[in-house]
Amino acid sequence: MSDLALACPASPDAPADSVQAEERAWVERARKGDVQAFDAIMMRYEGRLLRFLTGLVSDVEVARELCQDTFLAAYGALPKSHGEMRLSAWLHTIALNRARSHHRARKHRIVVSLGDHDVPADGPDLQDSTAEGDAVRRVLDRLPAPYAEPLLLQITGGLSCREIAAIVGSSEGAVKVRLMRARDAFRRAYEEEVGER
Amino acid sequence: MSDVECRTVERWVQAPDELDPLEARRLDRHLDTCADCASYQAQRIEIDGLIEVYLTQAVGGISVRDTVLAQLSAAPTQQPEMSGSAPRAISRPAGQPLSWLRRRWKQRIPRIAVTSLPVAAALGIVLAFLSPAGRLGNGPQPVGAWPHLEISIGYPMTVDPHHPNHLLAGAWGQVYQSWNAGGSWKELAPLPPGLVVRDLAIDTMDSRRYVVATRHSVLLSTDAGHHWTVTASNLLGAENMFVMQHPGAPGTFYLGPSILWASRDHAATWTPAGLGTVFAPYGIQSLAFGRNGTLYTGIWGGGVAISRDGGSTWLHRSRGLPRNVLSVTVGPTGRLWAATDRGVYRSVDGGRSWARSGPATALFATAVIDRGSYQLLGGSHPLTNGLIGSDNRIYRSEDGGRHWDPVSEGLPVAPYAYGFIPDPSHVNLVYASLDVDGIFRSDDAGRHWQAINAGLPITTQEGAPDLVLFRRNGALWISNAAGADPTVLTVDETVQSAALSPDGTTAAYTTGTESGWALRVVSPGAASHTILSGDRAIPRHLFWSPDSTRIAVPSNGAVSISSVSSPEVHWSLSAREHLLGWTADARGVLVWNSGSGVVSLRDAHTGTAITHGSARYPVLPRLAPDSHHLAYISGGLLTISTWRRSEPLSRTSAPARCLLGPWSSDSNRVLLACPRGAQIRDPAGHMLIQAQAPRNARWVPGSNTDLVFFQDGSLWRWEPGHFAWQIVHRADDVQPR
Repeated sequence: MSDLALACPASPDAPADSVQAEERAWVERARKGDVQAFDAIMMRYEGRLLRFLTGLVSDVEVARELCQDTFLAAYGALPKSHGEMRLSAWLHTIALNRARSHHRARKHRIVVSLGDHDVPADGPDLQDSTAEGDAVRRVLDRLPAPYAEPLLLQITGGLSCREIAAIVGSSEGAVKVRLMRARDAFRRAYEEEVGER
Repeated sequence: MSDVECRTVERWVQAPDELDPLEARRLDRHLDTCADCASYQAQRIEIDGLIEVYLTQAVGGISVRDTVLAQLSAAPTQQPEMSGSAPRAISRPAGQPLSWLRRRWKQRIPRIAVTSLPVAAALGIVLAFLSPAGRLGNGPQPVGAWPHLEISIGYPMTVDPHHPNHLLAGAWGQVYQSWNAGGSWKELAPLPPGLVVRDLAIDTMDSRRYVVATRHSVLLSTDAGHHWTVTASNLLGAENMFVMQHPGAPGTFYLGPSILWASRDHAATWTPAGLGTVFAPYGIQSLAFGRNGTLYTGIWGGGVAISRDGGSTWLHRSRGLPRNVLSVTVGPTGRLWAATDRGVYRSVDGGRSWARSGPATALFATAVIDRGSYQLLGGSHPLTNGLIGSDNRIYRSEDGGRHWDPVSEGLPVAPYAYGFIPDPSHVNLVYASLDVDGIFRSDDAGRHWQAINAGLPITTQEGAPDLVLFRRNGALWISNAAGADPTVLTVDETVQSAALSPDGTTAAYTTGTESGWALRVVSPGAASHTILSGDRAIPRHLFWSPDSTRIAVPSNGAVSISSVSSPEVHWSLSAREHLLGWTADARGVLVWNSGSGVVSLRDAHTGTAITHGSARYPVLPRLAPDSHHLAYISGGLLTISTWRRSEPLSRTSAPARCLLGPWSSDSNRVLLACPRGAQIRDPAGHMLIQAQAPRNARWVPGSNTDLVFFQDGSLWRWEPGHFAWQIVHRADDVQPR
C-alpha cells in the first residue's frame, strides 16, 4: 500500500457527504500550500491518530513523535497524491507504516525504557493512571500485530472492514475474522489481568 | 426469514454498521432470540469502550499541531470554521457495572511521564555509580536499571591495524581469529559461557592485546587470545555495542552504550565518561573520532552529540538531522555522516548543520563509511569510496555521495548491514557484518563481495522461507507462518511425517503403513512423485541436506541418500547407530552410536567413517542446523556442546519430564518441551523465555523467538510477549514431528 494514494471521490455516483466534501476541499487547498487547510485536517484527525498510534506502540511519547511524522509525511505527499482512498484511511495508512518502522527499528537499536516497577518515588511530570487503564495497555501490548492493527484501525479510526483490508493487505473476510479473534483474545487476557488482582 | 447461525453472527457483529439491510434485519432478529449472541454483542461493545476510554485518557491533551505547523510554516494559523463530528465521546452508562468483567478495585498509581523516564534513568545510573557502593564490578543493582531487550548484533569484527590480514570476529559467545583476511577462521581460547560478543578491538600498541566487549563486561587477553581476563563486569546501564581505541591517544579505549565508558590504561580499568543525560532518551549507538580528538556520537532519539574534552562534556549538534541516529562516522576530509532511520545525512561544518545524502528512496540506514578518494590504475580522475548499509540493501558511491547505486554482487538477498569495517591499510578493502549471513569482504571498494565465513559457526538464512507444514485430515498442507493461503500439497491420506527443504521449495514426506510405505517429494503447484519405497518399518525421520539437494532417510539398518528425483546410494547403519544430520558442506553426515556414545563423521556417499568426536553422549543428542552444536537431556541436566569438543559448553538443570525439542534455524536457541510450557534456552543453557506452547511446538522457520504449535484442532503461532494467535483453522498436527 503506497503512502501516496489519497482521497478522491470513489466514484461519481457516491452519495453527497458533507464531511467528505469538506475534506476534499481542505485537501485541494493544502495541496496548493494552504497550511491553514492542512491544520484543519490535523484538528480533525490528530486525536484519532494519536489514539491509534498509542494503541500500537504503547508509549504516548513515541506515539506523539510518530503522529508528527505522519502529518509531516502526509503534507509532503499531498502534491504527489492520487487514488481513491478516503483521507481517513490514507492518514491511517501512513501512521501504520510509521508504527511498523518503529517496531522494525527495535531490531537494531537499544531500547532503554523503564518498566512499571522502576518508578521512582518523586519526579517531574507525574501522571495518574488507573489500574484498569494499565491492564488495557498491557493487554493491547500483548496482542499480536495481525490482531491489534485491524482492531485499532476500526475502533480509533472508524474505518470500514474494506478499508482496513486494503491497508493491512488482506481480504475483507479475513479482517472480520481477525477482529473476532482479536476481541476474543482481548477478553480472555483482560479477565486474566483483572482476575490476578 | 431463515435464522442465521451463531458463528455468522459473531462475524457480523464485528462490523454491524456495514451489513446490508437484509443482513441487519436478520442480525437483529437473531439477537432478539439468542441470549448467547446478544451477550457476545454486549461484550464487543464493552471491549471497544474499554479500549477507547483508555486511549482517550492516555493521549489526554497531547497535540502535535503546533510542532507540525512550526515546521511547515512560520505564519500563525487561524482556526477555520469546522463542521463534522468531533471525536466520539466514550462513556459507560452511569450505574451499570461491567457485566462480564470482574473489576476488583480501582486504584490511582503514580507514574512517571514517559518523556522523563530515560533522563531519570540516566541520572539514576550516574548517581548510583558515584555512590561508594557503585564501584565498577561491585555494588547493588542501580535504581532505574535499564532493562535490555534482546537484540541481534550480527558478527562483530575488527582488523589488526598493523597486520591487515589479521582479523578477529565474535560468534556465538566465542572469539575467532583469521590470519588470511577471513579465508579461514579458528576459534581462540573459550570465553566464559553465556556471553554474547558485541565488539572487539586489537590494541594498536600491542597486537597481542585483544579487547572483547560483551553485553555487560569486558575481557582482555594479553597473549593473543590464549587466555582471557575479565576486566570489567556488571557495567551499570551498559548494553555494550562497541569498543574503540582512540587513534590519537592509544592508551584510551571507549565503550558504550548506553552511556559512555572510558579506559586510559589500555582497557584494564574503566570509568564513565560524561553524564548520561546527554545520551537520553535511548542511549548512544555509535562513536566516531574526528580531528583534534573530537568525539562524535550517534544517539537514538537524540541526534548527534560532540565532545572536545574526551567525553567529559557534550553538546548536541543535530540541526537538520533526524533524531534517530544509528551510526555516525567521520570521513578522511572531516565530513561527518550519520545513518538514521530516515536515510543518510552529511555535515561539512562539524555537525552544525546536516543535509540529506544517500539514495533518494526512503531508507532505514544502519551504517555508513567514507573512505575518501582513491585512484584506479589507469584512471583519469580520483574516485571517492563511500558505502551505505541499510536494513535490506547496500549502496556505494564513487562521486563523494552525489550518486548512490545499489550493490548486489556476491551479497545475500536483502542484506541487513550491521556495520562496515574498513581495512586501514587498503582503501579498497572493506568488510561487512551482515546479520545472520555472517561476514563479507570486498576487495574493490564494495563493487563485489564474497562471504568469508569458513570456520565460523554461521547458518545461512538465504532463502529461508516462512513456511510451515501441517496435516489436515491426513493430507499434507503448507502455509506461511502467518497463516496466509494454505495450500494442500498432496491428496495422500496417510502422511506420516514430512520435512520442508531448507530453501522452502520442496517438501519430502512419507506415506503409507508398516506394510508398505513411500517417500515422496512435492512442490507447491506440482505433482508429487515417489523416490523411495519399502515394505518394512516406515521411516520416522527425514534429513534434508543444507543445500536442499538431497534427503537422508534412515530405515531398516541402512541410510538411503536420495536426490529429489531418485535414490542415489545407501549404506549400512547398525542397530546402535542413529543419524543426527548433515554437515554444513553437505558432504558428510553425523552418526551417534548408542553403545559407545560417540558421534562420528561419515562420508555421506559411502558411509565411511572419517573421524570421531571425543565426547560421549549418554542419550541421543540433537544436532543444530550449524552441524556444530549438540544438545541432550540426561539426569535432569540439559547439556550443550559441540561434537568435536571433549568438554561440554554448558550444563544446566532441566525440569522433570522436559523433552528436548528442536534447535532454531540459526542454531542460537534450543527448545525444551516441558509440562508447564516450552522453554527457550540459549547455547549456555540459560532459560530465556517460558512460552505458552505445548510439546508439539516448533520454531517458525527463520526465527529464534516465535513458535508454531498445534492445539484444539488449529495451528497457532506464539511470539514473545504476545498471545498465541490462530493461524490455520483445522489442522491435525504440525510437521515435522
